[in-house]
Amino acid sequence: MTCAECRLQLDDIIDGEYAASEPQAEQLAALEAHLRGCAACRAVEAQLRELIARAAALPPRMSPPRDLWPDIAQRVRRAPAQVQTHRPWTRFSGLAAAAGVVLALSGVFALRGAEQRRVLDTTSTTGISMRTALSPVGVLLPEREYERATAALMEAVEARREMLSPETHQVVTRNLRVIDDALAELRSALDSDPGNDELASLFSSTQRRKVAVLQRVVRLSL
Amino acid sequence: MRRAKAGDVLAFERLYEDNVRQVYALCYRMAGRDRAEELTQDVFVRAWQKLGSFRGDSALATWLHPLTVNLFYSDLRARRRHTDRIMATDDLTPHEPALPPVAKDIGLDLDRALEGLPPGARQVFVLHDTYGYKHHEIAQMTGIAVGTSKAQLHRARRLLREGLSR
Repeated sequence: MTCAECRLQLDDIIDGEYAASEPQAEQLAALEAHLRGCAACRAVEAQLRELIARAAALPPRMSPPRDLWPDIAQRVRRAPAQVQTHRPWTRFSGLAAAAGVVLALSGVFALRGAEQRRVLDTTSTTGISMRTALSPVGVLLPEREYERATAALMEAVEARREMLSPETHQVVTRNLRVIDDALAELRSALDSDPGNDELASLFSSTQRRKVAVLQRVVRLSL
Repeated sequence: MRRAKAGDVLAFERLYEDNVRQVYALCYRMAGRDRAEELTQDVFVRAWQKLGSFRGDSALATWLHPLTVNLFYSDLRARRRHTDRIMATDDLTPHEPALPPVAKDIGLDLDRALEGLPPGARQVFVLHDTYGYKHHEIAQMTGIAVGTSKAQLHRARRLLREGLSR
């Protein structure tokens, strides 16, 4: 066995990758014999073991150079926590859930739309421009734009909460949760299969449906 | 935990405080200094969104670990799709960086030396030698072959060993 061959196999030996493998016992014996007779390779082995020990001993915690919480807090306030369902994702669950929401909300809107519509200022009490919040939804919503759009709309919905009946608000909340669950399932599926265009399209269309539903709720409360 | 799962941001802040240093260390070693802060933030936003799926069978830090690694690779793949110049994880480029000498008694210097490694080699080294993942687990997470994972580890160890011996 040459030094080059020995060093190539040292990793596997040290990691215990083939120590127990019967067909490689002969190879292992040859390597051990080489190590016994070669001080240079023994030195490499010692260095490797030292390096691995140091890597394993690296501190498991490091403090970030600045406080990251303020930025995280801003983002989590715009992205409500979602209760994750544990049923396996199915191809049509996102669309079905979103379609269910639209159907469920249609009834509510039909019952309560006319009597609750009023004319208010075009700027909300929270300072969010209704022109922005109610602008048409684009074809694709990048993640941060989507978060900003839904956060602005959620804020507008909350600011006008008293203008919605408790039943309407309850239905809206419940159905938004269904959409969020669908989005969480799709997000999880996309994490596992990021190159899947069909999933990306479903995810994007479900996001658009959520924004469209929120836009309708805001309009309903005007 | 129950309050955070119910949407209490203040309760989630406490979970953040308890776990941020572990998450940041992993992000720093996987993604490098420049990307570590942003990735750490993304991890906690994703954790907030997925907290409902945390059953409490393990410590939160244990749950956050694969979430961080998966988010890192998912982000890496997305960036690679958009920018051809990003180096592939399993790309064994001919360029061999000259690493600075590594002091023997300070862990931080090994962290600094890690920053000088090619990204694919660094990530495999960190996952295998620091966090104890096996090659088949690394292959599953990264999408590279087990043989490539071994080759990246060998390369990282050789470069670091040469740095140590200078």
